[in-house]
Amino acid sequence: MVNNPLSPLVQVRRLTYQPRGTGRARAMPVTECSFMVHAGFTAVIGPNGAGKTTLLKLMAGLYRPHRGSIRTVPDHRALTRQVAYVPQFPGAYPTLTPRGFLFRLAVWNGSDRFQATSRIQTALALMGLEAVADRPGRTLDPAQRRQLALAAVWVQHALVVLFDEPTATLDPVHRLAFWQDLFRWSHQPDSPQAYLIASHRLDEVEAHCDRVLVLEHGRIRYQGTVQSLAECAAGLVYWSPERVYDREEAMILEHYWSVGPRFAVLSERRPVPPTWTPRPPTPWDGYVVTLRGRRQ
Amino acid sequence: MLEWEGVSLGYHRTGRKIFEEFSLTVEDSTVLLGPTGSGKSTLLASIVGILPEVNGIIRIGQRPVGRGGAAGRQWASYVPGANLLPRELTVSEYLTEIGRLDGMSSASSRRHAQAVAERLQLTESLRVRMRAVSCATKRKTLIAAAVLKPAEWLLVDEPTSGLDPEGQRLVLTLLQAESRHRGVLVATRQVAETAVFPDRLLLLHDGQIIFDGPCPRLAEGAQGHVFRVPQKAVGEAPSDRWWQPMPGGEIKIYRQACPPSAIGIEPTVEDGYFWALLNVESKPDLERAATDSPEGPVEAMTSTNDPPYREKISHGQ
Repeated sequence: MVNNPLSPLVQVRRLTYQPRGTGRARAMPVTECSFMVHAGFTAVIGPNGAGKTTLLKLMAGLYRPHRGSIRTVPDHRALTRQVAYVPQFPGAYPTLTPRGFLFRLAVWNGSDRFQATSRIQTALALMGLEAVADRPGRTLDPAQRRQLALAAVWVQHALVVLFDEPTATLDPVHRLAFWQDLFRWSHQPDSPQAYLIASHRLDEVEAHCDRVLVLEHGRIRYQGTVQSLAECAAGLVYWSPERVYDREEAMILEHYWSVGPRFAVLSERRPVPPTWTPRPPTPWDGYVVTLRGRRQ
Repeated sequence: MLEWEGVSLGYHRTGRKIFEEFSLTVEDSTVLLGPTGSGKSTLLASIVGILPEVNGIIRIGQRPVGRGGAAGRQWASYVPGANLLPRELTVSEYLTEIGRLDGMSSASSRRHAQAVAERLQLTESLRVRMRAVSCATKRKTLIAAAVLKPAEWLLVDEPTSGLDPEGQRLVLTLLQAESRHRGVLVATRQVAETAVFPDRLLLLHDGQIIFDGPCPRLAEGAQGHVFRVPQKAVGEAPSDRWWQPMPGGEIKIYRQACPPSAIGIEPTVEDGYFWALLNVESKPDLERAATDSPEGPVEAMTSTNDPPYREKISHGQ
């Protein structure tokens, strides 16, 4: 059950990872990241190459941080045993059935066999995998592999779940299905409490997430609720009756969306042209202000 | 103008026809929206002649694209959905070569490549070989290359796949600017992108156009059918597919009539999209149910003392 979204669950302090060497496979560095993970859904957003994947992998224990710590609150234990990581394209062991895979996972994570069996049955039912539960992993299609990865997370008794761009390749209906699964799942007893989700879709962040972490060049630029991210742009956002093509002023933005004949503008221009009327800020505006504010 | 007249399209390999006797006219810049597998890419590819089996006539600016789409390739510039690029060329070499192949002089092609690279903030990676660049850079490079060609139509399949929010904005702004002096047809599955050309949106589902009109009207279509269920009343999640979680434990549901303890809310374009798909996908069930029992489905869809919202919207599923 997702409990009070105000309570912090995990404290990350001055987390740093500076990989050496060059090449394509090199991870992006993460520098001095300090933040709290709260219960509920937290989006991790930022430009390409900001270090989102590195951050998630550090938290998952797949990389060893060069400095810094990740501790649970309030008991100050290491997080590694209580975290589950779902990559963008989860795989499945080709010769192992989903049921067999989940069973091994549960037992390795210290469940007793009888408990594991019933929990696996629930997980398979919840993720709609009963029909393929006893087929070898190589026959699963990508959607089923994703469902299997979700079931695996649930079987592991994780406290925190990390998703790396889970919905990047999905169309809206499948994306909806993903969020429905998460919702259903977070209402089960004994389910993970915090969900960290890397995403590039700010509309999705606005629609489903409680909190947001903005990352740029390996540093945390913003942490807080989605609503307060939007408010970073308060006083700078307007509706304009005509399109604004002003490339000279850095803070003028032509938004690509518009409603009817109005165009959304984010501008520091003073005085404001008389035809512009104020509008409520969106997380998109807040995101842009957060990143640009630093650049200048 | 792009025209499809009585077109049937399909692939050799599967033998499945995606479009049967399909007709459509696109005069101005338009967004083609639809779920995966609805035929968006096929429609785009049919203009440039990538598909083997085409019956019917496809015209681009009154000219038939012809067998193999030779005319289509001449008058349209196409960005495929996949990022296939020569690995050993640098971004700048690729863009310049594309300009040369389209008949520009070497100097002007270099100048144009530079200009479009600046607009897409590609200048930092101009000297990097394609095998070493990120997929976001590849996407931008492909789009830059297509924009370089002074064709009458720009056909873009999934313009922003793999791009970060800033990259999405750059690309969509560029497409908007391009639409001032040529036609742009964007195929996308992201509802948020329909706002690039809000004046015309085509919603494609299984090879059929199920909505054609300005973007806000899609949202209006769901007026009175989108409801917010407060956290206290949520209980168990609905068993059908047409709901979505909102922040703070509430959920949003799509229904014909307002269920008890739900509050009507203003639909967004995305809500309009889901409502349109819901109507199309539940239609066969309704028709089947209608033949079984005349009042059954009507009652389920409209009665005010509704079944609890967690029940399925139609019978016979």
